[in-house]
Amino acid sequence: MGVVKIAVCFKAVPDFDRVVEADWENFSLAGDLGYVQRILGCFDESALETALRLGSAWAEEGKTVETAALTAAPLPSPLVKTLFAAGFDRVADLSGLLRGGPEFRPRQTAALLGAWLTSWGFDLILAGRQAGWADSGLVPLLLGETLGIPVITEAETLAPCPGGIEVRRLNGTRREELRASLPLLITLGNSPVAALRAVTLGARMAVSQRQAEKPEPEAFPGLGLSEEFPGPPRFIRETRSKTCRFLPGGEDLPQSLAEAGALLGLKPGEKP
Amino acid sequence: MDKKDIIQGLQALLGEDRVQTAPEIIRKASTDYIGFRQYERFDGQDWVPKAACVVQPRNTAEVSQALAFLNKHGLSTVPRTGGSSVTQSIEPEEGGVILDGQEMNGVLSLNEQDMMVTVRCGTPLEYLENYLNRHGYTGGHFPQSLPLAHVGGLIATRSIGQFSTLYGGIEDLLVGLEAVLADGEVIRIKNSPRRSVGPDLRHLFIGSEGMLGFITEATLKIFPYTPETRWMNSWAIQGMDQGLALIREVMTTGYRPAVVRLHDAEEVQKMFGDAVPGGSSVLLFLAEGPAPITAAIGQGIREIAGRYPVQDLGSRPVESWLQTRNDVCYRMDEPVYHKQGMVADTCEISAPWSAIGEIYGAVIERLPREMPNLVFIGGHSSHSYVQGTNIYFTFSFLVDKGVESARPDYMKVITVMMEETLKRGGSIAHHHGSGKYRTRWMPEEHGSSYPLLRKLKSSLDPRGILNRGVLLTD
Repeated sequence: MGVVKIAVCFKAVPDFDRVVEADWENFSLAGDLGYVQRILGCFDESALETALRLGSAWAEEGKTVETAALTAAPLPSPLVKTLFAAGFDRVADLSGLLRGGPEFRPRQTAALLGAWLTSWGFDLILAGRQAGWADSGLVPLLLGETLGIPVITEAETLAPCPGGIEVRRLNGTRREELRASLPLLITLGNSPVAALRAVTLGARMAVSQRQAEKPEPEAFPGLGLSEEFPGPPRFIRETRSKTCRFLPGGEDLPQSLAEAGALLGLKPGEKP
Repeated sequence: MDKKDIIQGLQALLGEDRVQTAPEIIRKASTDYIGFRQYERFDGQDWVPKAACVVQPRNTAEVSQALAFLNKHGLSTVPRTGGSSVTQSIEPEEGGVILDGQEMNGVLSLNEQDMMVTVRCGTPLEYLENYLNRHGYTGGHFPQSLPLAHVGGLIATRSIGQFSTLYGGIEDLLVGLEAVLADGEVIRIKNSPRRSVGPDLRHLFIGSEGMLGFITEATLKIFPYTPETRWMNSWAIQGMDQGLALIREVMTTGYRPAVVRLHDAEEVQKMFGDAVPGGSSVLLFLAEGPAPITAAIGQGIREIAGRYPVQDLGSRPVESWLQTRNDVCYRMDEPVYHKQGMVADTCEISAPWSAIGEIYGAVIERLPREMPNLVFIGGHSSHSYVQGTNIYFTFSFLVDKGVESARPDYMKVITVMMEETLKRGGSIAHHHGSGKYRTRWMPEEHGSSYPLLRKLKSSLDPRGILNRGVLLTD
């Protein structure tokens, strides 16, 4: 293994702490959250920083290391500079390729990321266990399936070892240590490597001319990238308020059931 | 006087339960949130001098007794209440005493006829504001430290709130007070809408940082609470110069929105990311008061904004800011920056319109040149006046030479800000107070009026026991 290629799949997500209450009340993916910055979730930050540290560790062993950070979600421009300044060799923004965006399309997202990774070649893929909000953490698992490589989840720390990588991970309520050979996909969970390194203004200035790669759809034939996305599911946000009413039984039962049906939004005659 | 005698003497006066000697209580009472101290703490270092004890009086009489004792024995005393200081102002001297007014809290009276509320020094500001809101009023004072700060400390540091353009700073809100001088003498300054009876003695204590007396009680103005009639809007504008010109025009034309903020492009990237055109600054405005007034202010500001190259961003950015503006207080004890190996903090200065843009530009240009480990430098104007405004610099740097380098590197950043401000006639502290970290620049800040401060000190605290190290150089 003369050259080690490490890729990190990540996603910048809206900072929902900054969404105003009025927007929560009518929340949908189509809503304008343009005033909300996009940030990295903690697991993705762990994956990005862990990749850089692993790269340094392998480089110290005399290996040539290449690192790439790629995403299928909109990529804030300041983050591009941060990633280059932090030390990533390549940054790929695939967000323009999935019409309608990557949300709630884990299979298509995994296929797209997989196609890019296959074209680049890879040894190790890292990802956060979950990027944020409604993300169910399916993309890494589907990506492993797409690429036909093993997946180790809930990793906390990673270190090079002869022939591969040593993984300390959470298995349910207990911790375990594994040794695995590459290629491999690992998701980072509650890692002590909690944040992407800070970069100085000087380092950012030095990469100010570098841009994220934005491949054309033609580079990935057969993925159905031009297909229309039917749209995200309808969102319901649970509210903290509850309504409690006592409905009398006995002779009043039919009337009570009708009232209950109305409260639950049922059609007339439909039983609650 | 040794530590044991100090503790025994105070316990004899006030009772054993009023004098705390547990190291953890002393450590907490000495905690200051200046950036380098936060970094040191998270790095496992505690380089703050250790006080002998923390005295917790329950009333003015006990404050008086305690101070008379401490003065008699010439013991270094640091007054504190909420402990939200970011300037080292509440760090004690080794072996000194912390006089903590936290337990002197609560509302003494609400005078709706005269629109005043009287509170004890340890009353948390957030509690007071919630209390007033329940009665249909607001105190009009909303510093970022609202969830942490107490009334006594707010007066002592000459605090200001985010709605200051309408309500003013604490100096505009304080009607009267009670304080205890270093020798234990209790003085009261009565409540009056205005007086013409000589110098305004309230100002001996507003911003004194506890070096001229211990504030025990305060009467503050109250106002009708009308959040439902607020007007809010925001605009993107290219460049801080254009933004400063716009807010100057708003202020000099005579409009009084409650909030006038201008964030530079660096801060905007952090707050809004790509949601705002690259390189833009962002203006946030909020007007409060009766609906006809807020509507008129909104219309006036819209007209002025229309004369500048702005992009209307609507009200959401202001609402979002309003909702999250004090969140930092809840993360003060979390190693948010330490885990990235950084010190992050803020520093506020002020200047007339003719100088403020130059000061901002000089600091932004100079710091990256002189600090290779600088990670971030940005700033915003958040408190505007007819004559000028403030700049609240935000910065972070990598601690790349070990934890010992955090403080000297921090002071390098501050030095640049102080020098560029003083050079252009600005003031080196707008609302956090001087604390102990800015004291060395005080002679230049005050110029020929500085001896007055010394004379006041020698008159009111001749033994120099109160909060040594703030405002006065040795």
